[in-house]
Amino acid sequence: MNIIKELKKENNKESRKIMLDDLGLIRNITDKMNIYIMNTYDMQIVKRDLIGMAQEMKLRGTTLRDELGDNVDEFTKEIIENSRGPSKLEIFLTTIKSSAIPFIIIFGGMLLLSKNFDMSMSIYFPILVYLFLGIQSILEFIFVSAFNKEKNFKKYIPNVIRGLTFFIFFYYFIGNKIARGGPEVKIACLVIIHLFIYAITYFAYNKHIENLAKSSDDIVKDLIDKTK
Amino acid sequence: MVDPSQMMRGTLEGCIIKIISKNETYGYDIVSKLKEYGFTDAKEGTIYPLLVRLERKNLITAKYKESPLGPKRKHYYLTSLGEDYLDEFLKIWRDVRNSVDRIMEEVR
Repeated sequence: MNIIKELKKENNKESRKIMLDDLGLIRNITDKMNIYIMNTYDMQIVKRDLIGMAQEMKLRGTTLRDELGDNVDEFTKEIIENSRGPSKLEIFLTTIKSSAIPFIIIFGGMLLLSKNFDMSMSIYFPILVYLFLGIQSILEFIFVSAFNKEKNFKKYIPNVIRGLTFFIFFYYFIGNKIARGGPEVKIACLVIIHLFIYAITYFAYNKHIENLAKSSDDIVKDLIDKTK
Repeated sequence: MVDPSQMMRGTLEGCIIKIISKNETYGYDIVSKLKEYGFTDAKEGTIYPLLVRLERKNLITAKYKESPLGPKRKHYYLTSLGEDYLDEFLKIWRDVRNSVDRIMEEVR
């Protein structure tokens, strides 16, 4: 069972029953949470709890916004500080899993369109891309956590850094001859390797989320099993 | 000037655990009990981050249960670690209360 997918489905279904204003408020709160601050399982449980609160408040003739008043930022900050925090394994698996997808799509697409399964490329290219993704993840971890709670222009700093690293990396390395020289590797091999990487990280990710759920008493089973 | 909300906040955790120790309960019920006993500013928005914290520390655990009012409710239970915490809290609270009472009454 893909717990996150099921939880997201459940949350989407339940969020249709709350006031639009509260839905926007919950989005504002959860938008401030990401895998570099809080693990995905806890994020979805918090979302479920807020939706539940908003539903009950609607039935009592009040709203979540009335309840939280002007303290939304403080409320969000307290939830984040009191939660279990990010999972380094989740960050690692998500980075690897999502970096395999562009390889599969772009190079798989190239092979299918050209019908030339013998095509090859410099081995430095995939190595440089992985290097870039690794650096990007470390920067995300540092800067997203540091600037997540900022309200003014500082909150855009992680975006600026993302853009800059992307630009510098692709301008300097990919546009450079480094990514074109050296030994060659068959693109078909790269696609197969990345399909394999994707499958392994997909199952490892699901297993990890299951473990996170078990370590918090598997409360999600009360929600998912009976609603199917 | 003494900020009553800050003073209350510090003791809220112990009070929430005490309420949960009596019976399994849910957010709105905890808030109602807190209000009944004088925490008039208590709101679900105030106690939810505390409940997240108590869950993280394994002092309480939760389960979603059917509710007569709308969606499934998150019910909280005390763990054995929570029971120990409550005993410790009560001991510390009594000591602090006695000390404060004595100072307020005796120091002129």
